[in-house]
Amino acid sequence: MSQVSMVISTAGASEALAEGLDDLRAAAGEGELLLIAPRADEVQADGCRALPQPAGGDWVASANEAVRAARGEWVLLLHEDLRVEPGFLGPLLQHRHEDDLFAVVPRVVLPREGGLIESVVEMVVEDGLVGAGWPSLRERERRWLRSGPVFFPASPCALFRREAFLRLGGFDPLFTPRGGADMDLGFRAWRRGMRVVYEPASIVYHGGSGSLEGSLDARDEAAVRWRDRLLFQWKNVTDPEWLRAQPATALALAAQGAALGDQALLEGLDLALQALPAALKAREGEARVAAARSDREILRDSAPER
Amino acid sequence: MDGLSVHSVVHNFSDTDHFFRLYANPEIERVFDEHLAREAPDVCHVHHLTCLSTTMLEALKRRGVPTVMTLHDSWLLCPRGQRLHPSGDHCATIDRERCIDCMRGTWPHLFGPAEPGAPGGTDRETVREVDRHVRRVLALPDLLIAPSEFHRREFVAWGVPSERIRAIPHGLPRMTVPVPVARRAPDGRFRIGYLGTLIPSKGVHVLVEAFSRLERPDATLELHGEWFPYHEDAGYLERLRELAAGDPRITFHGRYGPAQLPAILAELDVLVVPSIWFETFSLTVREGWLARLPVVASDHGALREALAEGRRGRLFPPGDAAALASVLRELHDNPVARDTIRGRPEWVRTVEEMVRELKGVYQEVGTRPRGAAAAAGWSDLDRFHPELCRLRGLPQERRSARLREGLETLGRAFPGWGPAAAYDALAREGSALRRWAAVRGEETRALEEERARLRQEARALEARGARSDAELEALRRRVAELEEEARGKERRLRELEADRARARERLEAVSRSWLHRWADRLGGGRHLEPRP
Repeated sequence: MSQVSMVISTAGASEALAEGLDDLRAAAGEGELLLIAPRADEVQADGCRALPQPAGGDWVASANEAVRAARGEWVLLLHEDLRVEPGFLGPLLQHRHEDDLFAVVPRVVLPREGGLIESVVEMVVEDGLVGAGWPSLRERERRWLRSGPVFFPASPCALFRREAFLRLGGFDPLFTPRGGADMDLGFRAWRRGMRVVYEPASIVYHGGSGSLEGSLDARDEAAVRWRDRLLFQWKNVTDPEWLRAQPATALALAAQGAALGDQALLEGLDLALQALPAALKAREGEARVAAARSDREILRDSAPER
Repeated sequence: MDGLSVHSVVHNFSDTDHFFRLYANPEIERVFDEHLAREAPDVCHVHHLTCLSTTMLEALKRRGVPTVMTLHDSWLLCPRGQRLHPSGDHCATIDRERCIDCMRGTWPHLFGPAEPGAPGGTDRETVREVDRHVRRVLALPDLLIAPSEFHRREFVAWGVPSERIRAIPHGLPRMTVPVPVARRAPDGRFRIGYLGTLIPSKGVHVLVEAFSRLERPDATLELHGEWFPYHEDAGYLERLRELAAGDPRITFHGRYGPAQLPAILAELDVLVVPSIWFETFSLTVREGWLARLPVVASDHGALREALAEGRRGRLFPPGDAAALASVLRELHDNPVARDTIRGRPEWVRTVEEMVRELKGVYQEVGTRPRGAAAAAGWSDLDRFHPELCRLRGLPQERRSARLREGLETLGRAFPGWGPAAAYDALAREGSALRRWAAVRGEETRALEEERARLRQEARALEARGARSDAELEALRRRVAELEEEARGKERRLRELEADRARARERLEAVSRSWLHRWADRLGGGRHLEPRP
C-alpha cells in the first residue's frame, strides 16, 4: 500500500484528531500519513508528516497543497472528525485498476443522522438549477449496498488518483470558504470522461464535530449554500436549456427572497453575484476543455444505483 | 411570577427518530435562536436541555450571550440521566461500551433495526459521537455550576477543567412546619417517611424491603410522591405494591404539592432518602432538616456529602435493605439516637443566599471580554466567512443596490436580458404577502403552543392517577375537556395553514407570471411549467 498517501486536514492538535489517529496510522501501513493544520508544529505525531496550512488558506487550499505534497499515486483526503472501520482502505484500493476512475468514496456513515449515508450523492436538476441530492438522507434509508457511481467525492473522505486531481487543478477556491468545491470537482471529472465510485464495503463514520468548518447558524449555512449553488451553475452548466433558465431562475430567487423575507437567499444570491466575474472566468477555462460527457450524460451516468 | 415570561416547547423522547437528535435538534435550536434574537438577553442561565437541544449552547455562543449552565443531573454523562442500568445496577463509572447495549435497550426506536449489511459500528459511533458532541458543547458556557461538590468532581473527572465548574448549592425557602411538642404521634406510632417520585433510582423498594424486616409493630411507612414510568420500566409501582404485600402499615399517599409539605413533614418521625443513584444535591434531605427530622440516607454521592459523612444524619450502604432496617430499628428504639442526628434549619442554605451568589456569577460572566470565545477556538462566521459579515454590515439601501447591480451584470453575461426592474416590481408585490404571512405565522405559533400545553396538561392528569372513584371520574372529565379544547385549536391551526398555502400560491403565481414574461423575451420558456 505504499502508493497511498493519507491526508488529514485538522484545525489543530484536537481531541478528535488524537482519538482517530492510531486507527489511521495502522491503516496507512507502509504508506505515508500527512497532517495539515494551521500550525504544523502543533500536530507533530509519530509516523506523520506535518504540513503547514497555506497562509490564509482554508480547507480547499490545504487539500490542494497536501495533494501536491503527497508522494503516493493515490491520495486519501480525510476530515479529522472521521473514524474508520478496520480494513476500510482495502475495498477502496480494489478499484485502483479501473482506468477511468477519478475517485472512490467509502460508505460514509453519519452517526448524527441515525446511520444514514453521506457519500451516496446524486445530481439533481430543479427549476434549471443543477444541484446535489442525498437519497439516503432524503429517504431515511441506511441500506446502500451496491458499489456504483456517485455524483462527486464527498469531501469528508475520498480516495483520489493524484495525477488526475492535479490535472484538474484540484478544488476550486471559488467555493471557499466552505462550500461546494467537492461537487464542482466531481462534475469536472465526469465531464472529462472520468468516474467517481461509491464502495460500500469500505466503512467510515463522519461525526461532524465542526472543528474544520466552524459553527454557522441555519441562516449562515443557507446563505453559503445558495451562493455555492448559483456559482456552480454560472461556472459549469453548458446544457442550452438549463443555461437559458439561469437568469430567470436568479430573478425568481431574488423575488422569492424579497417577497418572503428570506434573507439567507438574498445574501447567498448577493455573494454569488459578487463572485460572478470569477465564475465567468473559470467558465472560460472550462469551455476550452473538450467535454467527454454532456451535462445530461453526467446526470445519467453519475446516478447512484440501489 | 411577575415579570417572568414563559415560552414552552413540547418535545418528548417519543418525538425523536434517532439517538443523536436527543442531544442536537436543529428545529429546537432554530426556535431558540429566534427567541434569542428577539429577547437579546444580558445573561442566560441554562438549567436542563433534555428533550430540547444542546446546540442551544452553540446558538448562545454565536450570539455572544454570557451563559451559565447548572448541571442538575448526570444526563450529559448518561442519556438515562441517573447512571442506572436497566438491570438495576448503578454505573459507578461511565463505560461507553456498556452504554451501547443499554441505550439500544432503552430506546430501540432511536437506533433503527440491525439490518443485514449495515455497519455494526454505527451504534458504537453514535454513542461516542454524543460523547464528543457533549464535550464540545460543555466547553461553551462561561461557567458550569454543580449543586454539590461531589457532582462537580464527577464532571471534572470526566474532563471538564476544574476552573470551569463551580459548586453552588441550592437554597430553599424557609417553611413553617407545625412540629408537635411530643414528636411521636398521639397513638405512639413511629412514622417513617419517604418524599419524592416513586421510581427505581430513588430506591423506594429498598426502603419497603427494609421496613418489612423492621419487626416493630408500631412503625408505619408513609410513602409520599407520584409514580412515573421510568424509561422502559412501567411496572415499578406494581412491584412496590407487591413488595408491600398488603401490609396495612404501609401507605401510598400519592402526589403532593409544596403547600402540603409542612403538614406532611410534621407527621413524620424520621425521613429516609434511599436513592440508589448518586443524587446531585437532594432537596428532600434539606426539607427534612427544615422540619428538624432525623434523616437517613444512602452512603454515596451527594447524599454522603450532604450528611457530612454521617455527622448530620445516618448513612447506610446503598441498596442494603438489611443495613437500613438495622438503622431504623436503632432510631425506633433509641430516642437519644434520633435527637443526636435531628436536623437543623440552619444547615439549609436560604434562597436569598443562593440568589446573592448567582447574581455575583451573572455579574462575573456578563463582564468577561466576549473575545474569549474566539480565543478558545470557537469558530464563528467572522472567521469563516468574512465576506458575508461585510455584507451584513452594509445598510439596507446599499444591499439592495448591490443586488440590482449584480443582477444587471448577470443579465449582461447572458445577453438580451435586464432583470433588475423586474426584481423591484416583484419585491413590491411580494412585500404585502410577506407581512400577511408573518402575522399568520405568529398566530400559528401561539396556537401550537396552546395546543401543546393542553395536551401536556391532559397527559399529566392521566399520569397522576386517582385515589378514589370520584376523583377518577373528575380526572377523566377534565382530561376529556382538555382534549376537546386541544382539538379545537388543531382545527383553527388547519384553517390557518390552508390560508398560508393560499398566500404562498398567490406569490408563486406572481413569480411565474414574471418568469414567463422574461422567458418570452429570452425566446424560450420550455424549461418552465405550463402557463397557469
